[in-house]
Amino acid sequence: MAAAKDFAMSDNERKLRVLLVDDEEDLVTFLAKRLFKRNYHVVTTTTGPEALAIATRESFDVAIVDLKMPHMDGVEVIEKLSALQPFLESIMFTGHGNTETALEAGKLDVFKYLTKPCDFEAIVEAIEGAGLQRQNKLRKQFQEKLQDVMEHASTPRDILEASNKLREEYEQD
Amino acid sequence: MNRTDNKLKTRLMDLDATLGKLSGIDQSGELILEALEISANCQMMSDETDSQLADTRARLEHFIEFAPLSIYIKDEKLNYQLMNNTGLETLGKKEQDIVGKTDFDLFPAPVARRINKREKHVLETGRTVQFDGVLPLDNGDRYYFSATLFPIDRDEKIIGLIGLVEDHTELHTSERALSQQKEELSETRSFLRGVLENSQDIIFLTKPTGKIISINNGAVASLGYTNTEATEKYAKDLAVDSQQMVELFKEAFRSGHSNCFEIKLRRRDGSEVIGSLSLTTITDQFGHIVEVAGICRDITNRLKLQEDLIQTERLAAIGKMAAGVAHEINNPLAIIEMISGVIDETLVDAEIDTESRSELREAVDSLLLQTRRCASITHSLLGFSRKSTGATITVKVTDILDELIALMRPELRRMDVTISKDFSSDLPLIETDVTLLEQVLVNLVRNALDAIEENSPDSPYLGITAELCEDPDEGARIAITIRDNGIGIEEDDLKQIFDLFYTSKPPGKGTGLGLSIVHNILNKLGGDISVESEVGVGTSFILMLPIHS
Repeated sequence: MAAAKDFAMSDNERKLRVLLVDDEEDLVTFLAKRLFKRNYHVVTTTTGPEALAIATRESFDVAIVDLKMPHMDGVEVIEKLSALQPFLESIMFTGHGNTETALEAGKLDVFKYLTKPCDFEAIVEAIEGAGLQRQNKLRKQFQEKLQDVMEHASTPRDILEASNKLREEYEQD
Repeated sequence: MNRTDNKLKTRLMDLDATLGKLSGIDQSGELILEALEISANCQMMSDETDSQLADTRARLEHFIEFAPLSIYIKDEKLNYQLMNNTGLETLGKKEQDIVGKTDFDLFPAPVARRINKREKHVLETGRTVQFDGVLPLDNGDRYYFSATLFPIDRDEKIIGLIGLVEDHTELHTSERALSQQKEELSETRSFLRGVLENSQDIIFLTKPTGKIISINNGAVASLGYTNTEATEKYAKDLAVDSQQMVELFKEAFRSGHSNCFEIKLRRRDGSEVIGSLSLTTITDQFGHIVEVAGICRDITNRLKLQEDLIQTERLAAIGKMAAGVAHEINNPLAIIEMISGVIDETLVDAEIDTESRSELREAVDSLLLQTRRCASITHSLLGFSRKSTGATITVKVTDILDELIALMRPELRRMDVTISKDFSSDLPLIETDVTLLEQVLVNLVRNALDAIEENSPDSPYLGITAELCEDPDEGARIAITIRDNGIGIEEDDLKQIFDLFYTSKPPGKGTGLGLSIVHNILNKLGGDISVESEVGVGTSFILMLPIHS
């Protein structure tokens, strides 16, 4: 099992946190290099179980997962990652747009699936899109909860306390 | 007494002989008459009774009563005097019912008149008369008979007559049945003739020499010969390989019939038809072969269908394999592309001279181009087995067309094809399955390039236009036209180009799948495709796409 590679510990300016899961080691290595140059925080692994282990320790904005992998396929990895991190957006990498997989991906909450070989700019575009979607979802839920607090709180102090708590909770993620 | 005795004995012997013959059921009546005469003579002659004579009389009487003939005796006034048991039974009467009566008392007047006329004739002329007739019986049946009337003369004077009546009812019934059967037979025959004549199968009849006697309408339709033309030929002339037909005839002569599951026949126009033939010999009552019948079913279409099926299966297998290979190649391709990108990016900061940098840049560009080319190959291979993802997105058609041109650029450049784009500026966005639409467009452009290559015009040209098209029935649609100045399509082929497996390309070159897939996809997308073409000038494919899926 290849060790997880982390390219971005030092830089807090990195825009989005990306988890890259593909059994093609060369592919993840070079893709990670290029994404790093574009200021993404990238963590890579070549197996599903390792990806899940990483996801228990660290939060991500976007996961790029290869469909066809030994031991645990991309569909299962995405399902389990979503269970661990509900706001994580997934992008599926496939060798080809097989019908069954596409359907499966439709059932799964996958932001987009990309066909290999895929233009690098298309990957960057997908990551940006996924990041934006995640933010929108977060914002929406935050506002819903805030609305809830406003409606049910009795004093202004309650509101302030509750909203501060919410803000802390969501900023962390 | 001695003389009389001897005479009597002689008569009695005659009588015995006559009775012996009669017991063999001779229906001529002559013998019975003779027997009756002898019996009458005996009665006259024998004053003295003798046990032998009495016995003979008894036998004679029994015979007369129960002979399979109706026998009656009438006096000179044609009153019944006597009728035997068979006669009474036939008429359903008792003796007392008829004795002393005439036919007019017993039968309807017209029947009685007919009989009366003939009986009078016997009495007047003393001749034997024979006639046939029919009597209505009391039980409603009709009694067909054949009667013979003999005069009874005594001392040169006719004193009455004897009637012998044979029952012909059964004969008549069976004759009628026979004629009915004959009629049915001829009906059946004409029905069968109709079936054979109008059968779609090729049916022919030949002499044992193989010379054709006649052919049915099916043969006329399938082979194109008229019946007259066919009768000038031999069966072997119908076969492409005449020796094969000769062998089939030989086999039929040996065993009565022969079969050939696949025989090629030659039509009048020279083309071939594949049939499944069976020959049967027809023999006369002596077992001599008088004719040979051939029935042949045209299986050309069935064979073609079978071939198509095999081709389909083969294509499906190739498609599956190709998809597998393409899938495996996509991963390394993705890596090569990724590394090319890395090199490209590294070049930005690399400390090398400008000339080397631009040289490396060019190399990397070329690397990326070739990678994309590989990707387009693997993707079209995968497209072979790929189905719709069912995902529709909103796109600008012109973007897709520009992408298409970019994708095909290397090929277009290699063939030195001039591209002319004419996109209307006011085109609305359309909702469609982009993957499928791309597959259609790539297919059509590939076809156009093939057609151009075949025609090799001085200035190869590919025109792509997109415009809005208002249709009263379909509403607003986008029309994409792909026009080339390639070899063109024959008018006969035009009707069939969208048919599955129809291809004008030589085997191994075209699959006959491309345009039928295109057609299918357009159906799926809710659009239409049409084609205009002129041989040697060029072809236009026009796609009509709905704006909303």
